Amino acid sequence: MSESAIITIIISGILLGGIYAVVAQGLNLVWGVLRVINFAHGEFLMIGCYITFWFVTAYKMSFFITPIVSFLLLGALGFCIYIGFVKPMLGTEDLEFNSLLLLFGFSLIMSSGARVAWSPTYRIVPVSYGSLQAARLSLPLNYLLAFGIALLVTVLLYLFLKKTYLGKSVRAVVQNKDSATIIGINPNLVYGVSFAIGCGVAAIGGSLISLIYSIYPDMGFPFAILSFCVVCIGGLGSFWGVFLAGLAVGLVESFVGAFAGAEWEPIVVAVLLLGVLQVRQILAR
Amino acid sequence: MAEGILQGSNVTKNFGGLVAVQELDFSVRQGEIHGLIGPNGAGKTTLLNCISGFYPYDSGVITFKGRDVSKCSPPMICSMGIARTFQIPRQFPDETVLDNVTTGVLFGGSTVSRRNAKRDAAELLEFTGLSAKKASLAKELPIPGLKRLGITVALATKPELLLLDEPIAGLNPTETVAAMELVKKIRSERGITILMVEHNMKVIMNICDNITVINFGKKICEGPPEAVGSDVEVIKAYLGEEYKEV
Amino acid sequence: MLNKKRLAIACLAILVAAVALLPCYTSGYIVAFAAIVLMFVVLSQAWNIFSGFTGYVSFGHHVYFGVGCYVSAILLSKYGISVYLSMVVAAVAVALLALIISGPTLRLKGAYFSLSTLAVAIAMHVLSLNIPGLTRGGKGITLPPEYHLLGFFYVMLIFALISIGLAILVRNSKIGFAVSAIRGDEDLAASIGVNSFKYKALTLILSAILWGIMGNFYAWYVTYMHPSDAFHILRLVTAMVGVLMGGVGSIGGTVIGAIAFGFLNEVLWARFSTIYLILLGIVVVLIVRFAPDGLLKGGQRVIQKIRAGRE
Repeated sequence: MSESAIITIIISGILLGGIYAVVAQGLNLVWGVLRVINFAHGEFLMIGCYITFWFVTAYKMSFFITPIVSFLLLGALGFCIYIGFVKPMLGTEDLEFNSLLLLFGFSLIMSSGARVAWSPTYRIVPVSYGSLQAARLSLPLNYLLAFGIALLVTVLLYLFLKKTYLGKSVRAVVQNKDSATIIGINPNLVYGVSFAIGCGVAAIGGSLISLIYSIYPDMGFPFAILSFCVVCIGGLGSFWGVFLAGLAVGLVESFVGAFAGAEWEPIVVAVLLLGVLQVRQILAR
Repeated sequence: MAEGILQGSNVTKNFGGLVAVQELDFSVRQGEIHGLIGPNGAGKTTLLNCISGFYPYDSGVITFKGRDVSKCSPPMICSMGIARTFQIPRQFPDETVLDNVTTGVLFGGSTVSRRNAKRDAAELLEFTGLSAKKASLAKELPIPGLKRLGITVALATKPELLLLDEPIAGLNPTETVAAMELVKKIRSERGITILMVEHNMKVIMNICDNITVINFGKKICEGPPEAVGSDVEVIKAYLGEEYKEV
Repeated sequence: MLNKKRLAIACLAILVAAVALLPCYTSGYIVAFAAIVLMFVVLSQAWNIFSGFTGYVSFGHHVYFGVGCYVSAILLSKYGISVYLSMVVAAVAVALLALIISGPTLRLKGAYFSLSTLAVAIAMHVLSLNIPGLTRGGKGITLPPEYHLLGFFYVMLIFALISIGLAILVRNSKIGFAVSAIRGDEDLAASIGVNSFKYKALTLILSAILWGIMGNFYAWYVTYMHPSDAFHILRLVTAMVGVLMGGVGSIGGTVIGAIAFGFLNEVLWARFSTIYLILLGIVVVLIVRFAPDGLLKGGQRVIQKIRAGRE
């Protein structure tokens, strides 16, 4: 295999990985703060894709508005779901089981709703910025653009968590909810905001993904699984761990896709996930 | 010093950069009630966790009846004859008090039928004074009951060494006296060696045959109450200048 | 008291007999519906035996069903052996799979466990798509096209009773004490000598075998098997909702929950086929939101609220 082919694989892996990383951060936030696995995470991403599609094709808007719209709309939806359904079950015994089923229910509603509303036809967002030709490499600019925005969002998220009061409150609650409450942080607000941002970030990821992949109602599930794997590999609650894990998974997918075929990607990622969890388990002892 | 039933030499345990237990030697003789005291964060519970297989220790060796306990899992530690209670009492909250203890009897070393296990559990509850509550759910018990239940469950595993992690914390004076009577009874009627982590100086001085004092993970004194009570280092580190009475 | 118990058993026996005689007095459609509901009773109960009893939420149980489907599909279509023989093979295959999966997954806690079981299920789904030599990939396998409704119905009935019996047996045995302890406080259980891995693995294998056997007969009944049907996650969710409706861990509750949800499922499917899944999702959300500890307790709470409102 030629050098430039390998470099292309690596670069596209990293670019894709950056997007996976930011999508996974949303899940990481929700899981880290609320200890709830957002099983509908993929559906938030999927709707983000469709928002971009419809805004670009039907409303003739510039692509660049759509991540913002996705974030706001789906963040709001996430907040509503939190208030109405997640908040009442926090602190109960079977939280993990119940939240899994609850959010699975929502994922069912959202994916089936999308299928009924927008039909199962594959859609493609007609936005293409051509290719970048450099040093015998040909890189679709869509990838670079998506990666760039993903990096931007990652940095913004990091700054939010590190520098703003709300962000610091989130980190405080992750570390120790009771102590955070004592010093005046409203954990409920923190939970709601975290859930909303988690969903919103997934939606941004969707907008970005729509630049690269075709869109269909059931696409959420595979991305959700991917995000779960990335968070597990990177380590629940670890910002940079998840970021690096995203890149790693992107690279793995890229290589597997090139050498074995895209169908084998889920298996390799699953094996990778199990392997990493085992190693972490052994190291923890 | 004669070899104790529980012996530790040079035990060290790190957490990342933090040294919780540092080159600690200690010796607990068979049949004694041995106190382990020190200020908060001194490493007492960490040491208990190392002895009971919850943490592996980084260097040194801890032996029980001559056998090295390192790398032993908690179930193995149990079969060797060591049982423990927890600082914040742990129980099976949705089971009855009787079933809590029955579980201990069933798995704690002697293979018995379920019916016999329930009978043995009932006897144990008599011994520790919890018979009246045996049909209550564990989560309904108040703190003193939970502590007592924890001790009963530990006893169900027929231990030779019982590790008590702050058995008095949160008890009022009457409850404290009752708890200490139980501890003494466990040693005198069952011959079980007891290693007790505690803060309450009065209680420790009254009940223990020997005491190990640690601070910042290091041993600063070990010996009978009179020796410990008058040790300068101990007074400085833990008792404070004002405490003269032993 | 003795009278009450005897009365209850008598009622149950009559109920079982009534169900067993369904083919004599109802249509094929009803028998088919009842058979599927009974299958979900088995699936729910089996899931309950592992996840309900130990507290480890398995989100990948459907992998055992899928493997059972394919064992039967391959053996029946290629070698023409009896479905009862393939049942044995399926049971063994699934038990081995569960044993292998136990190793890496059962030592993980909470969400890590759940997600790793899901990852395994997906991997198997994808695998079945990609070894066409064995599974004919996405094209699927056609089994001998015979009409097995009666056979399927009675097998489901028998296994429904078996699964309930097994659940009761496990609950009242030493294993039952162990898993209750593990669910209550796994570290405490370990400190009193419970080898938690052994007991978790045992219940997982038992539970998996039941799912595998169900898959085995399901493929035989529907006579056509392909990966999306074999490894469909909705089957797992349906079983979980059945357990939820009855109260997680409760044996009788699980039966009732599975039956209730089976009815609900069928009604939705029959009357609203286009938006069936949307409605199903809404139902799941509502059940989890308003009756998370089971319908019985949820109903009690509603009654209490009504009473309190009146005062």
